[in-house]
Amino acid sequence: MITGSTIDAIIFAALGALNAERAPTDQIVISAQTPLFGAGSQLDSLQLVSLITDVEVALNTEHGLELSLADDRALERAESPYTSVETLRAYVLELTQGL
Amino acid sequence: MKKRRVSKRQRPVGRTQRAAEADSRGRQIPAASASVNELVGRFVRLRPLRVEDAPLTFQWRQSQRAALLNRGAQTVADQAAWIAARPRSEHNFIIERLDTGQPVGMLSLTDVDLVHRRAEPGRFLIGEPAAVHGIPAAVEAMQLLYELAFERLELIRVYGTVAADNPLMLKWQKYLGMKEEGRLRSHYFLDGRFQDAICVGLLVDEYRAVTVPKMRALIAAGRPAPVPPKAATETT
Repeated sequence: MITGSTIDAIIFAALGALNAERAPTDQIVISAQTPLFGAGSQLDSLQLVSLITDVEVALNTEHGLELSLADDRALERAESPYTSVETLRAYVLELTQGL
Repeated sequence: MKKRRVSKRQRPVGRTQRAAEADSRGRQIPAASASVNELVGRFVRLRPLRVEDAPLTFQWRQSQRAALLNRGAQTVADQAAWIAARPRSEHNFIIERLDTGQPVGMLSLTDVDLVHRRAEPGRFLIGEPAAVHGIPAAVEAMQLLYELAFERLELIRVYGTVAADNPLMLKWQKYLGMKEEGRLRSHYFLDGRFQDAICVGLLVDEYRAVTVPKMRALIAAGRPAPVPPKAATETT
C-alpha cells in the first residue's frame, strides 16, 4: 500500500524536474502546500501535463500502479485534484484505494 | 435512443455544406478554409492572426521559448509579409485570454487537406508565459483547434513533428493522445545544432477516446471561469 509520504516524494521529484528547466530566479518552492494549478500557481498547463505525466510514470514504474490522473473522475471532485501537492496526494490515495 | 446534445461551438458543419472549389480536373473539393473568425472556450479564444500582430509575434519568436521552433522572420516587416502570405489551406490563430483580451500565444492548423482529411497543428507558442500561470490556456487552445480539425472540418488525422530536444512538448503531445510514428534524423537545425524530429500523429478515434477526457479534466482544473460575454460563441 502506497503511503502519503511516498506520493509526496513522487510529486516533489516531478516538481524538481520542472525546476531543472526553470531559471534560478524562477524556482518553485517545493512543499506539501505548494500550489500546483489555479490561483497562486507558477505552472502553466504544459508544465501541469509534464507533472501529471511524471507522477503517473513513477507510480507505475516504481509501485506497479496504473492510474490515470486526468479523466472524468477528476472532474467529479468539488475541488480540483491539481490545486496543490496536498490535493493531488489525496486524489492519488483515493484512486489507489479503488484498485 | 438518447440524443447527444451538441453545442453550437462543437457542432460539425457537414462537408457538403462547406464552400466548394474545383480542382484542376473540375472536380468539386470543399474549400479548406471557409473562413473561421474565432473559436471561443471558457478561458481563451482563438482569433485569426492578422498583419497587425507582426510586432508582437515577432517579439515572441525571438524569445528563448521559441528556440526550438523553425527559424522565423528576421524583421518585423518580414513577419508582416509572412502573415500576409498565409495560404487558404492554413488557419493561423492568436490565443487571447477571454477575461482580459490579452494575446498570450499563437497556434495554427496547416496543410489542411480535405481529400485525405488530415492537417498539421503547429506554430504553437505561448509568448506570455506569466499571463497563463494557473490557467489552462495551452490545453484549451489545443482543444479548440482539435475541435476545428475533427468536428468541424471532419478530418480523421492530425500529425506533426517535435524537435527531439523539446521533451516538454513531446511529453505534452503524447499525454494528450499523440502516438510516436517515427524519427527523422538530423531533420532540424535549431538552437545552433542539428536535431532529430520526432513524428507524431493522432487519429480521430484516439482523439475521442483519449484526448477529449484528458483535456476536459485539465481544463476543469483552471481557476473559476470568467463569465463569458453573451456573444461568446463560435462565429464563422
